Amino acid sequence: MRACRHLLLPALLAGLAPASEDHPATLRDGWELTTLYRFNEAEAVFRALAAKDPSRENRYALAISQLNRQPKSDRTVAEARALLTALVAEPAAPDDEITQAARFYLARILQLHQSKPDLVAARSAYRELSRTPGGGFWAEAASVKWATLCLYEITSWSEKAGRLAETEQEISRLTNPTLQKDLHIILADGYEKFGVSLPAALRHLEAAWALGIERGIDQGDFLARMGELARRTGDRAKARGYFAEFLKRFRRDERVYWITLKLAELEKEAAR
Amino acid sequence: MKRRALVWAGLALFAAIYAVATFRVLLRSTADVTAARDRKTTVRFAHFYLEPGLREAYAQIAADYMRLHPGVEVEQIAVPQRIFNAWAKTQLIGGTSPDLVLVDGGQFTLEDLARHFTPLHEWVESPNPYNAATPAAGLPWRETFIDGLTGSYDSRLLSYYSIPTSLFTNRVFYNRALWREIFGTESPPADYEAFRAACAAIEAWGATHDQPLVPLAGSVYNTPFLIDFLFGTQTQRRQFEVAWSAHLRADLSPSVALLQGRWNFHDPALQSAFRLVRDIGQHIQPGFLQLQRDDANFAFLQGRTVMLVSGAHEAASLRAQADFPLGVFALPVPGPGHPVYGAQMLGPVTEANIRPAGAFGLTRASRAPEQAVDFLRFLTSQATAARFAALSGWLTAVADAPVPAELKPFQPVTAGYANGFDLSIRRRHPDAKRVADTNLHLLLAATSDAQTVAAYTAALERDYVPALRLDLQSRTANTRRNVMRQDGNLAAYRWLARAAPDDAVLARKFNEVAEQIDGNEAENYFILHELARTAAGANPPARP
Repeated sequence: MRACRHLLLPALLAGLAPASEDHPATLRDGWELTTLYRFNEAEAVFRALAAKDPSRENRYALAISQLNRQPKSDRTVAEARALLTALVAEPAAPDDEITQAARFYLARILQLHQSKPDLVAARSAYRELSRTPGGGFWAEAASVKWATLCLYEITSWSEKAGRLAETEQEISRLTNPTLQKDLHIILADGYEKFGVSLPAALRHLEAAWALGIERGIDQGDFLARMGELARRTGDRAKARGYFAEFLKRFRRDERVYWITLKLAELEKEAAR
Repeated sequence: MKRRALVWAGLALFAAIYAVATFRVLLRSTADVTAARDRKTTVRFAHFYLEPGLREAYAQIAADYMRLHPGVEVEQIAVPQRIFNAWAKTQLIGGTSPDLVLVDGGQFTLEDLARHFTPLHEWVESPNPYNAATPAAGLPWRETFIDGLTGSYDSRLLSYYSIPTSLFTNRVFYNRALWREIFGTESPPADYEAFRAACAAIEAWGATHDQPLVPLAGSVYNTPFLIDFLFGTQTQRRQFEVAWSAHLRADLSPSVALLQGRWNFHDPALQSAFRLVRDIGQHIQPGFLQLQRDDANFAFLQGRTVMLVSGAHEAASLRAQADFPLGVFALPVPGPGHPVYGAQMLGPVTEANIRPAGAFGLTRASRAPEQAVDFLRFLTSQATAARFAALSGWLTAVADAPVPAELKPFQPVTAGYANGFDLSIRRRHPDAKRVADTNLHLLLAATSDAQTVAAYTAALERDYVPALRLDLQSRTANTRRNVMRQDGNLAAYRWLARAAPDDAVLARKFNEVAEQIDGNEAENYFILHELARTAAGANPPARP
C-alpha cells in the first residue's frame, strides 16, 4: 500500500513538472521578465546567475528583483537592502553605475519599499547621492526625488512658494533631458496645485514640452493645459497657438468641442 | 479487510484512469502531428457576448474571412459571462487558450496580461491592409479607432494589449405601443421638461386606467446610467472651477477639492443635482437599488414600465424579446437655457470620452499570431466594421465606418463638454458612493422637495467625507504599490537601454517609465499632503 503511494506520487509530479530549458537564462532574460512584472521568475534567473558568478552586475540584478518578488515582506526587502549595501560598501567598489544605482535603490527602500517609509531619511539619502561629484544618471534621479519629497513635505501652503524656489535650483544641476523634463513637470504641478503662480506653471510646462513628452495621452493634456494657462494669464497669441496645435493633433479628443469654442473666442478677440 | 479492498479498488481505478488519459493524450499528439501537415491554420476567438445576433454576426464575418483566405479556419467560442473569467484563466494557465480572448470585462490582472498576452505595439503602428482604397488607407491601424486606441494602451506594460470592436452608449428605450396608447403619438419627448412631463402623464394614465404603470424600469445596473448622468450635468461647471489642473479634462480632483473645502453639499451645484435626481428618481421602479439588470429588463418587456435606460448593446436583445415596437431616444438633459438647472451647466454633454468595448487580446499561446492579428484587422476594417454593425446591431469602435440607419440614435454625441462628477467621483470612490446610495432613499421619500433634499444633504455631510478619506487612502496605497513595481521596471529598462543604445523603442520605454513614476509619485504625495493637512482642519488660501 505504502509502496504503491510512493510509486504514484512521483509519477504525478513528473506530469506537472515544467519542461527543462534548452539554454541557460541570461541577465537580459531576467531584465526582460522584470519589464513584464514577472518578478519571481526574474528573481530565480538572477539568483541562479549570481550563484554561478557573483559579479556586481548579477548581485545588483538580484537585489532589484528581490524588491518586488512575491510575497513581498520585510524579510525580502531586508535581503535586497543587504545586497545593495554590500555593493556600495565593497572596498574595491568603483564609483560606477552599479554603485550609484545601489545607493539610489537604498534610498528608494527608505522612501517606498519598506513597510513603514522613512521620508526624512530618504530625503537625506537622495540629497547626499545627488551631490556626488561627477553625478551620473542615478545621482540626477536622486535630485528629482529629493525635489518631490521637499515640495510635498506636509507643511502649510504659505511655505510652498519657498519650497518651489528651493527645488527650482535643482534644475541647473541636471543634464539628463528625461530628468530635467520630469522636474519641470513636478514644478509646474506644484505651482498650479498649490496656487502659487500660473505664469511659473506655464513656464515649466513649456520647458518640459520642449524636452519632449513621451506619452501621446499626456501630450494632449499638455497642449490643452498650456493653452488654458496662457489664456488665463493673458497671453492670447500663445493660447491660440497651443489650442490650434491641440485641434490639429487630437481630433477625436473629448475636449475638441470646448477648445474649438475657446479658440474661436480668442480669434474673435484678436480680430477686434 | 473490506476497507483495504476498497482502497486497492480505488487505487486501481485511479491508475486505470491515469493510463487511459495518458494514452489518449499521446494518441492525440501523434494524430495532431500527422494531421498538421495538411490541416488549415486555425484562428480561435473567445468572448462572452451571448446577446441575440452577436454570435451570428461574428460567424458571418468569420465566414467572409475564410472565403477570402481558404487556408484559414476561424472558430468562435462563446462562453457565458458568469463563467468566462474562470474558463479563460484555466485556458490561459493550461496553455490551451484560443488565439484571441475578450479582455475588456475587467477579468484580467496586470500579471495576467503580462504573462499570457502579446503586446501589439508593432502591429498597431502599421496600416490596416483591409482599409486600402478608403480614406484610412495610409493611417496606422491605431488611428482608425474612435479613441486612437488610448483605451487599449496599458501604461504599466507600455504597450497596446487589445483591439476593440464595439462601442456602447446609453439611451432610453421605450415601448412605442404603450406610448401611442398613452400619448396618441410615438414621438419621444423633445427635451428634459417634456420627458419629466411624460413621466407624470404615464403615472396619471396608469392610475385612471387601473393599470399601475411605472415610467422607468430601474435596477442597480441601469439606474446609475440615468441618475449619475443627470447628477453630472449639475456639477459640469463646478468640476472645472475646482480642478487642480488646467488641462480641461474631467479628472479626480473634485475628491481632493471636497477635503479642501472648495465645494460642499450646500453648494448650489450640489443642491441642484440633488433636486434633479429627485425629479427623475421618483419615476423609477421603487426599490431599484435592490433589483438586478434582469429584473428591470423583465419589467420593461412585460409592459409594466414604459421606459428602460440601458446600453446600446442591449438593443438587439430587447428587440428580439419585446412583443412591441421599440423606440430609442437620447438621455434627457436640461440644456444650459433651462430656468432651474441651466445655471450649473456649461452646455451639452459629450460622449466622445466613452471607451470602446469588445476588445480582443492576442494570447501568447496562439499558434498563429500573425493570422489572428490579420483576422482582427479584417474585423476592424472600415468595410467589415460597417457590416458587423449592420449584422449585430452594435455600434462599432472603428472611426468613420458607415453606420446603419437603425443605429444612428446610438451614435455618440461628440459636440459637447465633459460631464461633471457624480458622488462616485468617476467611479473611483466606492466607499463614498456606498454612502450616497445608502442614503438615496432620503432623497426619494414622499415628503416635500425641500425636506428630502435637506435630509439627504445632512446625511452626506455626516458620512460622506470619512468614506471619501478611506477611498483616497486606499487609492494612494494602490498607487504606492504600482510605483514599487515600476521601480523594478526602471532598473530593467535602464539596463536594457544601456545594452542597446541605438534601440529607440527601449529608450522611449525607459523615458516613459521614469515619466510615469515621477508623475504618479508627485500626485500621490499631493493627495497624502491634502489628506494630512485637511485632517487638521486648515483650508487652502484662495487661488490666483
